[in-house]
Amino acid sequence: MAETNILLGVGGTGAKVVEAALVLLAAGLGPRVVHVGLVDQDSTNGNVTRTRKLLSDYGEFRRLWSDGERNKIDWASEAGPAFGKTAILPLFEKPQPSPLWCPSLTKGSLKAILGENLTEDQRHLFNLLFMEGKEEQDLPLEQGYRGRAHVGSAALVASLLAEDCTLIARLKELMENAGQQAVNIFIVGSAFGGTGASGFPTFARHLNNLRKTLQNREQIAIAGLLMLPYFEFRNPEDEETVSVVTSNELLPKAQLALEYYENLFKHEEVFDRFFVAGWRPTLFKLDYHAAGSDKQTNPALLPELMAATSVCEFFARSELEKNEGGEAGSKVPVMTAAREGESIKWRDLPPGPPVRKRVGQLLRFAVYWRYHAKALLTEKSWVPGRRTWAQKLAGDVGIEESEDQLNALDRLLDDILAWAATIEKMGERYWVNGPWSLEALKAPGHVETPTEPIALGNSFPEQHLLDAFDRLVRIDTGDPEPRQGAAVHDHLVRADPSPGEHRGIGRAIAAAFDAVTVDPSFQRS
Amino acid sequence: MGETIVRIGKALLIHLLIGAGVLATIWFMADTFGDASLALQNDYAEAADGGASVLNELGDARGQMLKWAILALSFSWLFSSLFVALAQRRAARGYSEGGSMFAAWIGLFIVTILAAVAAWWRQVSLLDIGTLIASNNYAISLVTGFIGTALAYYLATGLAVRLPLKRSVPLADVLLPNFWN
Repeated sequence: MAETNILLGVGGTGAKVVEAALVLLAAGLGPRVVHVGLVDQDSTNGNVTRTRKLLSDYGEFRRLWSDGERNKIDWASEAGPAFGKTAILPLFEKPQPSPLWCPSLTKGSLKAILGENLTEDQRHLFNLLFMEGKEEQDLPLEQGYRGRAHVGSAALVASLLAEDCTLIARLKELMENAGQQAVNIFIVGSAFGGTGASGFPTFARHLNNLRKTLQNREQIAIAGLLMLPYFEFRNPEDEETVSVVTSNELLPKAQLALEYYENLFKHEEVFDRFFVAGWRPTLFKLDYHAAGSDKQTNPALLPELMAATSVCEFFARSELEKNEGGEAGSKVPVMTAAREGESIKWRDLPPGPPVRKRVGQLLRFAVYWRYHAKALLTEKSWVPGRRTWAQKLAGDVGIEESEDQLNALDRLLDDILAWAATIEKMGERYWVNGPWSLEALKAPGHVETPTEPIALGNSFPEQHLLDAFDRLVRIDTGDPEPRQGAAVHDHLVRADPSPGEHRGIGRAIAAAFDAVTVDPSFQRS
Repeated sequence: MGETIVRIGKALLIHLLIGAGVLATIWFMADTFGDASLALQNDYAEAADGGASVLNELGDARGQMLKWAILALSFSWLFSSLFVALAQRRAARGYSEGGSMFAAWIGLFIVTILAAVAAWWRQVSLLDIGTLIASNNYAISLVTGFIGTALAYYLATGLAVRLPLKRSVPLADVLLPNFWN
């Protein structure tokens, strides 16, 4: 049995870091299997919804290409493509696959959860700890905890302690089923929001206590990633101000949170590994404010990518230690990463996982397949017998019978490209000759909005597309990757299948993924 | 550079193989007394060693034809090598760019044929070689020489050019194998 890896995002920021981690895992920077969970009181939160969509699209892509009769990508083989090799599973399998756990689905306020059937003394204490009225006791929780971490903590603890808590039951099941194999749990949340700030420590402590009760506790490692403020909203203009976090509250709240953690760690070894990520000196500005729900769809931001590398680093470290006979859970006190100059380069990402190699290859594949290679499957020629490399590799498998599979791949690649384009757009002040450029693939006429700052076009003339591909991923000097489109085409026209038991169009996909590697020494087999 | 030289070497090998066939055909088309034209045979009909003289004249004519064929094939090798070398320097990122040297291929092909015609005019036509060889045999030699030249150019460019540029050689991606590209 393989080791068990669990990634949990708490709150909206947690979900966004999980989104970035999903891209890294999709790129091949993860173990074979990862279970992903999201904890958010606000089930309609736009950040959570987007992460769930990415997870769902990835799962559908894997499902349709894993075991098809006619089309198949062989991930079981060691030589299979890194893209998609990780099975990323939603934490809950029943009643239907879902990563999301909402602490209080039915009870709409803290008062409804805790404030009923109290004794006189308990009521006084309740009133002492939580402000009466809409500020806290009657704050509607459907859209999260609105920056009131102590309200969230109380609500969350109540839910976690409930006998029928599905989240704890599921995590316990996964931990126990691991047997003597390692269990790696990674929790991410923010120090400055509502759900994340309250849920992150509360949940981690609860999980740590659960670990202590299990026989295989020595095999269970818990890591935490705390996101310090890295973006700010425009301050709200109406009465909502009383129940949301405003920008000028972010840093004081984060400072309080860090003091809390410092104190916590003196008394309780909750985490085997603890990561902290933030941004300075200027926070990313999101030019809107939404208290919650689907309106809170914050664009992907660069610090989330940087933070997400710690997820891969933690899972990879566990594998490394296992291979080297090391002890899971051994501590590395400090790991820091900081950018060297004003502009962002690959080298500014934390050391460890080969992000440039994998993410660079994934982005190149996404553009190459989505905008160029896929069309070669259907290209018609007036010359009888003339076939493209994609048609040769696909053999007798037609595009009509593969429509569902190809659409699933398109949806996933669109998600990934939209994420990457947004990171680039939102970080443009740091993105002078940055790691990648999707600027040339912008949808003409797209009107920027705070929640959708960029959109990519559907198709482009071949010449334009191939130029864009050559300039897509850059090395740290600012120059394009040396392995250009000509080398990719040179490899593919030979129509040599990639290693592995791929079938049909899966052979074309695997070959295209191999060919777009950023490794200039890559040779055709 | 090294790869270009190897490809030019492949083009040379193809020309040598086709050249051997062309030269052998021309040789056998002007080999025996019966291969001489009637006019040549009549010219020496009265002479005591007429047969030997006819064969002597026929041998000279064959030599000129062979020189012409060698020249034509040399031009073909030269221009096919030029195409292969140019293609070696051209980046092709897709099939459209892979066919972008079609005009160059056509141009060099026409130049090759024109050079072969010029060589025929200088080596064969000016010397009235056609009057010395039996008309059918002369026609077969001529057609073999021209077709061999064209075929050698086509095969050399089609088989020795870099694979991504193969679409610049008409139908080569459909008709020719890829093992040498």
